[in-house]
Amino acid sequence: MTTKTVSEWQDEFQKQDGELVPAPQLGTPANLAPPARLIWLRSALAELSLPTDWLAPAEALAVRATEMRRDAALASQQAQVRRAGAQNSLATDPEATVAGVAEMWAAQGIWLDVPQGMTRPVALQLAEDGARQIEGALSA
Amino acid sequence: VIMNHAPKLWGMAQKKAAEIVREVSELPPMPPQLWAVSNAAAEFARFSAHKSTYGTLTAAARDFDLCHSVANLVRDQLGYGYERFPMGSTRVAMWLRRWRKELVDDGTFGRQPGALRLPYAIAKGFEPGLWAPSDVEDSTPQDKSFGGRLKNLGVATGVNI
Repeated sequence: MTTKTVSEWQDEFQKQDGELVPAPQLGTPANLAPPARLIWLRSALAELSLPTDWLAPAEALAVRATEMRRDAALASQQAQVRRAGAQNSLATDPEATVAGVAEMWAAQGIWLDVPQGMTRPVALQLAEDGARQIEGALSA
Repeated sequence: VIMNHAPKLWGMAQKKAAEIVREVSELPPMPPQLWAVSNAAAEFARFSAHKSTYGTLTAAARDFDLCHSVANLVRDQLGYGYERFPMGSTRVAMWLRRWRKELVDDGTFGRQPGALRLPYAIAKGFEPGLWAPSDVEDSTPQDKSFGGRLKNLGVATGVNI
C-alpha cells in the first residue's frame, strides 16, 4: 500500500474543497463570538471596498455590551474600596460605629459577595447576562 | 442585527465576487503554457502585457475568498448551505456554477496555485462566482444515484472508485 505524503494529502484536500471555499470550521469567522465576528465583518467589508455604515446599529449594541461589563467591573472595584475604607474607619475615625460600618459593608454586597450557587456577585452577573443578551441581538 | 441584513450582505458579496471575476476575465489572454508551468510569476514576467497580471490575480484570489467568507456568515441562514446544492454536486459548486465541468477536468485545475484558479476556471467555462443552490447547474439522474454520488466523491477527492 502506498503511503501518501502530507503534501499529497494537502493536494487532495485542496482538490476536494477547491481551496478557495473551505468548509466552515472552527476558527472561521462564522464561528467567532458575535462581537468578534462584527469586528471581522467590518474589516472584511472595508478591504473589499464595500459599505459598512449599515453596521452602525450593531456596533452601537456591541459598544453598549462592552460598556455594561466595564461599568460593572469598575463599580465592583469602587465597592471594594468603600468596604476597605469603612473597615479602616473603625480604627481611624473616632466617630465611626460598628453599626455604621456594618451597614456600609452590607450595602456593597451586591457588587462583591458571591451568593451560594452563583459564580460571581449578583450585580456582575446581571451585567454579564445583560451584555450577552445584547450580543445575542447582534446575530439576530 | 446582522442576520436581518442577510440578503443584503449576500447580495453585496455576490456582486463583488462577480466584479472580481469580470476583472480577471478582462485581463490579456493568459500565456499558452501557463497551466503547465511550475513558476507562474516567472511565466508572466516573460510577457510585457502581463507585468502586473500576477499581482492582480493574487489580489483577486484573496478578495474572492474574502467574498465567500463574508457570504458564509449568512449562507446557512438564507438556506444556501451546501446540503441544499444539487445532490451529487461537490463543494466547488458553491463557487463554480458549472461544477460538472470541474469534475471531468483532467486534474490540471486541482494542481493550479490559488492565484491561477480563477483564470483557469474562467478559461474552462466553470463560471466562477458566489452561488446559491438555485444558481448552479442541476445534477443528472446519474449524479443523484448512489453510485454517481460515490463516483463524484471519488473524483473530487482523487480516489479512483
